[in-house]
Amino acid sequence: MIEMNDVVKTYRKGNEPPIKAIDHVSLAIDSGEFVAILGPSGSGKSTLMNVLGLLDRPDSGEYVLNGRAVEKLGADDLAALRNRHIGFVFQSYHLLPRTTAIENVQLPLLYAKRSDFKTRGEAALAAVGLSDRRNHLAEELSGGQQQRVAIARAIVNEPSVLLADEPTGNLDSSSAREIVDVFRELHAKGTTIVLITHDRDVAAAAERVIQVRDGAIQADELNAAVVGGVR
Amino acid sequence: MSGRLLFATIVSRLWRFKAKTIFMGLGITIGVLATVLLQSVAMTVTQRFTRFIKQAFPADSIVVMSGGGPMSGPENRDKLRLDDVNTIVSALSIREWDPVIVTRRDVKHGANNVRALIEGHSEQGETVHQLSAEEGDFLTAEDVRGRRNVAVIGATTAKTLFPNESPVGSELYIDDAPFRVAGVLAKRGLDVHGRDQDDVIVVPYTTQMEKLMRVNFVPAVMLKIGDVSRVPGAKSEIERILRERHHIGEGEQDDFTVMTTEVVMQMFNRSLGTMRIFVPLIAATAFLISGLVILTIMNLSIRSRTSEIGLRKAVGARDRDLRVQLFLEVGAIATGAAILGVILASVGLRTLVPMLMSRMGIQSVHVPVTLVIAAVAAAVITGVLGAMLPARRAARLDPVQALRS
Repeated sequence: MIEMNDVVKTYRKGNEPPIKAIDHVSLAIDSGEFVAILGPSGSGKSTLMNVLGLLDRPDSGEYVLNGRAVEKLGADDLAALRNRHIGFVFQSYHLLPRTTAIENVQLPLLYAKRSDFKTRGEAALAAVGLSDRRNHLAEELSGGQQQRVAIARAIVNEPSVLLADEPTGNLDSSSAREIVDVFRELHAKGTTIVLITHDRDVAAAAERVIQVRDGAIQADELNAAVVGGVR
Repeated sequence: MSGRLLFATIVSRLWRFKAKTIFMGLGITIGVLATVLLQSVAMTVTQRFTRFIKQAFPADSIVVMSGGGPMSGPENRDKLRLDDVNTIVSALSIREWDPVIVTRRDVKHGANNVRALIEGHSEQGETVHQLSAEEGDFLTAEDVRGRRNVAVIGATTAKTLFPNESPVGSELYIDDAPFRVAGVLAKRGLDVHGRDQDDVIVVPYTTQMEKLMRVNFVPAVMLKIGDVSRVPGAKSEIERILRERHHIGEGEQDDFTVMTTEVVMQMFNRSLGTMRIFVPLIAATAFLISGLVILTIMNLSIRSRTSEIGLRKAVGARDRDLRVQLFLEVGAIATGAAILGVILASVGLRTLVPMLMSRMGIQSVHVPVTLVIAAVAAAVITGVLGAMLPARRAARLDPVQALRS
């Protein structure tokens, strides 16, 4: 479903030498997989997520998402693809302030051609166990609840892949466990998840762990504890 | 985009950020309020004056006034003599004419007395000055020729002097001279200065000039030319006759003024010219300021909404979707604020008119639909223009950068 071939992404900051945030990465992720991309800060994993999430374009290399080569698509096509195929979960939740949980969840449906935004929103909120908080404003919720609302928003349009960038980074350990459990449940239901983290414990929830450092893949192995040796 | 969801999104955003919404709309409300209020009043006053002038001064008539030049005062009241008028009337074969001559006198009937305005007219006042008797009779040619002590009284005067009886056929005293009341005038209402035109006593001008005032001149006379196209020719002919009779040489100041409807309307329009420039100027200023306020608030707002814009882009908003949303937000504010302005203006007019305008004989101010549409359209255009740059800037934000903020 996701195929990256020899992707390079370089950043220049002022007069400093260019930084290769993604250094000739090739990567394939299948539908239904739960993949963790593990790396320390500055390893280029956020850039990798931006490219995977069609927020940023690679300088070179190919990226095929669901059979479509995306490097040559225009901004509007990329927006439509993001809406249809990608659900984002961010470290800082990025919920709209002074806006209710359900309205936050429905946000991607504003840009989708769907009329069933009510039932879809409710279903997504139910999937993260927050139906009873539907009319609470985002700022009235705890960090863990806010992140669950953000996950509901990410899955509301039934995307091909859920991209989570340090989803537990702002949470205490018990809330973090809750969030990881939500991901596990979603995975069990068949959602493809790419989880980007620097935290080995969080990465341990995934069935496949890709380690990145300095923009390159160091290791790409199955998580025996989760997969149980069978794939 | 999903229309219903977009609508819900905008409404809830504007509601949750009430302070910002109100602040953005305030200028527009004030602009629309001021524009509609002033323009409605200006148009109503114009209509009122135009109607009054048309009624009091038909286009096929000429008024010859004693005294010339713009600064002529009461000392020049005696320049137009009755034989001047007679010469003009016969030279131009004018069939209908009526003097304009007024004075104030003590009037009595029984125990009731009043200081009343006395107007001298001929029997032709009926056609020339649209006077008519509602009860009894108007002045007759015999009344005028015979310098009879006959009066036709206004409805207000009738009520003051004859509170419990029909005045027709009764007697009243003007300066202790007895007058027979021949009739009661049809109501005329207030004039443009708010004076009650029904508080008047009409007597034959001959009686008034010879018996009450003892003068042989009239301040003014209205001549019915009968044909608008002949008015300019008649005007120069009258000027020629009067200059000759008054021995006024080339280049000397006339001691009389010949007025036509055209001249009066010109004078009126000139005095209204200020208002004509003033109202659009106020409107333009108000809308310019509103536009700048919207521009500024939107710019600030977009800075604080950068992360929201990044998020919207991440979940699939195209540049156009963001522009549409921001434009609709501002459009909704501008429309709502403009409608509020129109409502406030109508409420203001309803309370203001009885207080101020009734003195001018204006009972209600009509708010023209076209004016309302124009004001609301101007408001929306203002909002959209103010929102243009900020919305474009917002839509062009790079999602990665925007999400980081």
